[in-house]
Amino acid sequence: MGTLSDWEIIQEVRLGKHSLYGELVRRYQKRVYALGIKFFRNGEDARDFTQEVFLKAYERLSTFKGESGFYTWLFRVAYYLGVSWNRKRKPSVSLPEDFDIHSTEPGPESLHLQKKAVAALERALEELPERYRICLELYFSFGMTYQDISGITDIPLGTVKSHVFRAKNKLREMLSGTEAEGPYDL
Amino acid sequence: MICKEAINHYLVLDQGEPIPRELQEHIDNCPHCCRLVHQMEAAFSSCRDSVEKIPCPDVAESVLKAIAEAERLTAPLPFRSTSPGNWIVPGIFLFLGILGLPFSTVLATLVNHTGRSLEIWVPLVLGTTFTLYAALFAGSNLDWLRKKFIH
Repeated sequence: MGTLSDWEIIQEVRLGKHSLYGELVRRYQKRVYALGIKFFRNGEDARDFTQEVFLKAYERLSTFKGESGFYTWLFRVAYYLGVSWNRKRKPSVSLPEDFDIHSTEPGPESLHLQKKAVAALERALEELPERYRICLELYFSFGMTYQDISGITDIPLGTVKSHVFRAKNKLREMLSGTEAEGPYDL
Repeated sequence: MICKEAINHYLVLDQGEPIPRELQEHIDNCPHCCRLVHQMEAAFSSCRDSVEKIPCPDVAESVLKAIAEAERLTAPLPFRSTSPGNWIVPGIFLFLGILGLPFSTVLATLVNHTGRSLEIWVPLVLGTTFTLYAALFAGSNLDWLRKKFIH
């Protein structure tokens, strides 16, 4: 079963093998849940969100034509559901201090960089409305391309590029800040 | 290529986009840019890793259960067939009613009131009704008829 591609699984599900859909859920639930955490900043809502995304995706499976990857298509469903839930629900709260997002402890150098990256991203995100915030998360945390992000969020390609560029520039400023005499700052 | 130009060029690169040769040469020969690019790559990698490390509950079973439940609720109700006996008895009454019509005074009274064309239309309508009834009966009880008359 593990060797079937997403498209093959979808074809089988359409022919009535509903249980195979579980394989698709297992493949992508981690990333959808992570997106839920980015949207709602709490595990409970993120879990409900993950379930709802896969149910919505199942309902709309007949509309998936395979023009983009299933992952991109699924994230489009997830993005719109997240935006819609956030509009209806109370404002998101911050992650509690003890919320464990790491199953393994990163090394000190990695932790330092991670903190810097997160801080730079947060600074870049502070200025942005939610839909642009998620657009940066899709780029930095989910490794999506400009084109994919634009396709998922319907934000023009140029706008995606400029937001990502600004966020990267903030990160560069923070990283260069430790060595203020670097040639870039002259 | 000066450092500012090189870094700006680097910052606009997309995910997985290869670094152009000229830019790569600059990075290789400039310790400052080399360090900055290395740090930025490590920071991007940390961001992606942080997502990978978020512990996720397994929702596959609950999703499949919800799908099964939704399909059960939206599935059409099973067709409940009427037993052959329930078809035959009304059918006999219908047939006898049609047969007995010429011998009753009902048809004669109707003809007197509405005109002679009714003598043609009443048997036609009743005959069609009986044919439809018989067809519905046969269609709904094909298995029973097969068992009864073929075997």
